[in-house]
Amino acid sequence: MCKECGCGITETSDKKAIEVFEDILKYNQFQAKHNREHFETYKIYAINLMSAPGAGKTTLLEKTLELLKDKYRLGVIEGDLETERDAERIRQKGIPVYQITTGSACHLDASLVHKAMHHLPMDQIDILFVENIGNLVCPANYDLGTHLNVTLLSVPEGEDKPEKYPLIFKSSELIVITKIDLLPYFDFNLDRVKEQIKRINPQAKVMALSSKTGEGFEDWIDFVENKLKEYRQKLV
Amino acid sequence: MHEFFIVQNIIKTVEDIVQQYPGKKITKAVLLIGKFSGVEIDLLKTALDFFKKGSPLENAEIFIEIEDLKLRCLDCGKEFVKDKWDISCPYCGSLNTKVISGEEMLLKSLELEEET
Repeated sequence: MCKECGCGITETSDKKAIEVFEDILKYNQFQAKHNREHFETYKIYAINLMSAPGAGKTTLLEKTLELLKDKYRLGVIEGDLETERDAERIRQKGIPVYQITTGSACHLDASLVHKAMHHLPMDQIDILFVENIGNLVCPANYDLGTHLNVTLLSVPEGEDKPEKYPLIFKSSELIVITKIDLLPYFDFNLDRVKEQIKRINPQAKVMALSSKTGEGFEDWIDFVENKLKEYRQKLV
Repeated sequence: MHEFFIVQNIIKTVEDIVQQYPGKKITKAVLLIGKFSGVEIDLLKTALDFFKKGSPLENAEIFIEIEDLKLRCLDCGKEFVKDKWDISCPYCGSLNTKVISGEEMLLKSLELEEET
């Protein structure tokens, strides 16, 4: 360190040491901020859905679209699709959807979402759902510029997942336990999982539902609608 | 396996900096990686070795400093280190704690030398 002023830039004979302390993911942060500005320009409330593969993101999304489509103008960015058929099903509901083809990428990042935005009628969307790649590890690191990060945890995955993959649970504002119609068949203690999540992220809200039976689904829909309302009030 | 993307970002960060120092080459780079940054250190090393070729880091020695998960309890004021991501205070049980380190993913410093 420099003795004169305490800065990190010192010059020895021919070597120069520079203190940098730059965030390695800053490019993604810039892009995420930019996306957020875009969303705000169009008054879009954007939701990032994350989970392991098979936790029920697509099913939750389909049911959600069905319940909200008459009330709001919706849009979908799909990062995780098993087949184009799913996208087609969403399209048939009259909802604009763009599928990001990531090949074998393990997560979406802010620039992929940005590119996808340009394929959607942004001026005709109130709520935009982004379905992330099925993965509990990598998506946790990438801010997409969305307003709400949601992680789904399905009953069959087991109650140890928050402890094993804490980062995604800590970066989510809402945790949705899915497939609770299967609770009788699995050793999955809801209270224990909630307690576990609390130690990882005490601010997170946890709710439980079944997209199949509809149990608890109202809470999720209410949550989304309230969030949208809050968001719009803030924008005014 | 997003370590490849992270390495791309490291290289981009380094390229931006080295532009400000024409005629210099990088001999050393130090990264500061939190234990809970979401990066697997071994995979990062492998990815760095592979992808640094042709980049300004090609001939640089790369050091990775690992940062523990350190927290401060906002109720009792004590500081503590955790091996797993459980933010509860071991002294008073409070969940009202603040992460001091362990999440970071930083390019800490570089050492440059006159290009020969």
